[in-house]
Amino acid sequence: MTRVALFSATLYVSQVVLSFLPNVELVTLLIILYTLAFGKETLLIVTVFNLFEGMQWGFGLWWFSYLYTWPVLCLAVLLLRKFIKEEFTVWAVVAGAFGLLFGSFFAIVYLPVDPAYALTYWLSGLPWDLWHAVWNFVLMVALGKPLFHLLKKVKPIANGY
Amino acid sequence: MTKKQKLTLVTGFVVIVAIIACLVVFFNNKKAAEVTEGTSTKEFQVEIISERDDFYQIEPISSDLDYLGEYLRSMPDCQWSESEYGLYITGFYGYEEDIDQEYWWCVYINDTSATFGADEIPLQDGDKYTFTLMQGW
Repeated sequence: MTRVALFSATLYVSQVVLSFLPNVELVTLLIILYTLAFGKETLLIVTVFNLFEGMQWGFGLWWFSYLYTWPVLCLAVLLLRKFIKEEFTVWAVVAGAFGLLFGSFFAIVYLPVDPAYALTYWLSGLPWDLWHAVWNFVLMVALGKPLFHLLKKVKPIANGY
Repeated sequence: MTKKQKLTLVTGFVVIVAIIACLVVFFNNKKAAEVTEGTSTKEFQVEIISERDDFYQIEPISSDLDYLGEYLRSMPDCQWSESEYGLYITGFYGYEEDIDQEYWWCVYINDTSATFGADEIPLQDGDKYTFTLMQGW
């Protein structure tokens, strides 16, 4: 429980601190690293993080997208970690691809309401998705490995050993 | 995973990102070129809908302006502010957005949601521009 509280708070703070930079965020990087380090427990971390986000920014329609967007990233990492292991260049591609798809995850919410709107919503945000992809890639290349090794050191402490 | 496989993966990713970036630039330039071609008078319709205020209006407009943003700036009954993304519509005829209640003005072109801000929407002959007060983000 301590670990969930600590790392969801870290996710939340990282999001709020960088919120002035559009589509530059550490959340994707941290969720990938948390999932590599803590496995399924990251789904709990992400759930608490989503709750914090709603409390901070309001429970708008975007928030319902968060409910599946971040868990999808966790699940993808859980599936891929057997193959990718600690290859952070490859995780950078995964983070970049997630950034590229980010807008489409949000557009899904609008599909049942108005498919044309969902499509235009996604297309109009595509330049920002590209920006998101590039930054996710760069941040994972630059910070992935050192942060993961730091997490591995913290893990026993967070476990209460 | 071998070094070659990693390199192929990264190269593939970079190529996909570059292709999408090129497409975005291409379509943006194409749209800009279409706008600069025509400077004649345009006949179009402006429709304003606010269910909250029980307000509906549609009127034919004739204008030499090139962009919807320019037209809205010249429209005395449109309330707007400048934002980092250009003109931001806050209201029409005093019927203002309400951020706390999640009311905002949505722009449609010929009944399809606009993909760009008003400053980037070219005015075209025969088009209908609809401004609808929506609720919810």
